[in-house]
Amino acid sequence: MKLLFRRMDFLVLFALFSVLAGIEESVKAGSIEGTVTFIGEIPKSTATDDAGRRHDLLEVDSKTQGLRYVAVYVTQADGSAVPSQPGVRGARPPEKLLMNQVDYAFTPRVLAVQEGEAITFTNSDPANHNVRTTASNKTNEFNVFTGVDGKYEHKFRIEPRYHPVRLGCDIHPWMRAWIFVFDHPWFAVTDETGRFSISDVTPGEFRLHVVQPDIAHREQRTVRVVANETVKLEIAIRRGATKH
Amino acid sequence: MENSLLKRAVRPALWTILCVALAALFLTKGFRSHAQGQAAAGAASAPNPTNEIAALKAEIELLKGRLPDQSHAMKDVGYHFANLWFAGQTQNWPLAKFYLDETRSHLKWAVRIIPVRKTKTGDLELKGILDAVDNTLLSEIQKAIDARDIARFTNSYRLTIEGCYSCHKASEKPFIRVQIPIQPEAHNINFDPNAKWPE
Repeated sequence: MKLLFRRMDFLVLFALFSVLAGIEESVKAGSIEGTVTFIGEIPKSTATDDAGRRHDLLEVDSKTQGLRYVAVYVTQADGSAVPSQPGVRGARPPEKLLMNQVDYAFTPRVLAVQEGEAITFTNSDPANHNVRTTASNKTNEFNVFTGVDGKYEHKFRIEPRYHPVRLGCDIHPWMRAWIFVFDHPWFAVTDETGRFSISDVTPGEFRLHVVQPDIAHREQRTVRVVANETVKLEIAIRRGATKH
Repeated sequence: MENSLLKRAVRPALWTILCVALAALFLTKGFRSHAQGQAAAGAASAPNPTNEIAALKAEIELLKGRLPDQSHAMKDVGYHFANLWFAGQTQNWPLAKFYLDETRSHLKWAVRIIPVRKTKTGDLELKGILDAVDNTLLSEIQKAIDARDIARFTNSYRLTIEGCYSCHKASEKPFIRVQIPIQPEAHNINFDPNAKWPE
């Protein structure tokens, strides 16, 4: 009996130590937050829909000019990849990763995932679609028919230099979307007001990448992450009218 | 005397040498002029690249005119796809497999004839649509045939018809509405898997 209590004491102590170590680890981390805005005329797609309309390639908040669907992620300061962290989700919520075809558009237009996470492709339209991906990594390429209420699941692998996988529907050629795949949890996609947040980042100097694939926009800046602090950034993308 | 004898002996030999030399000279000259003539003639008949390209273009146009158009290939698709339904419904699975393979290969042929269709919304990549239909819907029919599962076959055949129609609509041909066939296209094929004649 005494032996059992001793064992339980040891387990309780071990659990307490693990919790404290976890708290200390998260306290040591810093975060990066910011907003991406778009200034200029919103470019239109070259392909028209059935009604002959050209769709906006960007989603810009009319009040804040915040730009939605911008991928933001870090690499080492010299541009090389940060050490792979398979299975570490960071502060991202354990949401179900969904790419839906609704109102003849992929939603969301930009999705970022960690390598090996399953994305479910669905079709909520009353019409048939297909999903065709174009990628450098051939394991990321597929072409499936997603009929009404259709469903398909796929786990993506890393692309060279984190280039996004392109999604299209051949039945409705104006439909387009992008999937970024990372081997670490330090990435985000801007929300409807252009905001992004990357937390639980190990302190150090990094290169922050800001990518909007619809307009082929790529920019980088150096950020220094300090423990328990938040790096705040305001990023403005200025563009003239262009067709893509 | 000796001198005259010598002259008599040498003179024919000299004549012979002279004749041989003249003949050699004549033959050499003749050969050269023949060769030069041949070279000149060759230069005159060398193929003109512009003419050759024009001739090839004309030949391509001629061959194009002799090839069947996409509707011909699609008529074949319709023939095999209709027969596929009856082969499946009679559970003649080897025959169903045959008609599915024929449907697939004729669809690929149809798309080779026109891979990209011009529509009012822009270029429509038929190969992309076909690959999606083939990878998903026709593969599902294949699985149903392999499993000899008539319920799965019936369901996947119906879904494939919807897939076919998606492509017809995207190709601006919504009036070509596919349906479950009411009779097999092949009138001289016995669909009965238990048929005993001919042996």
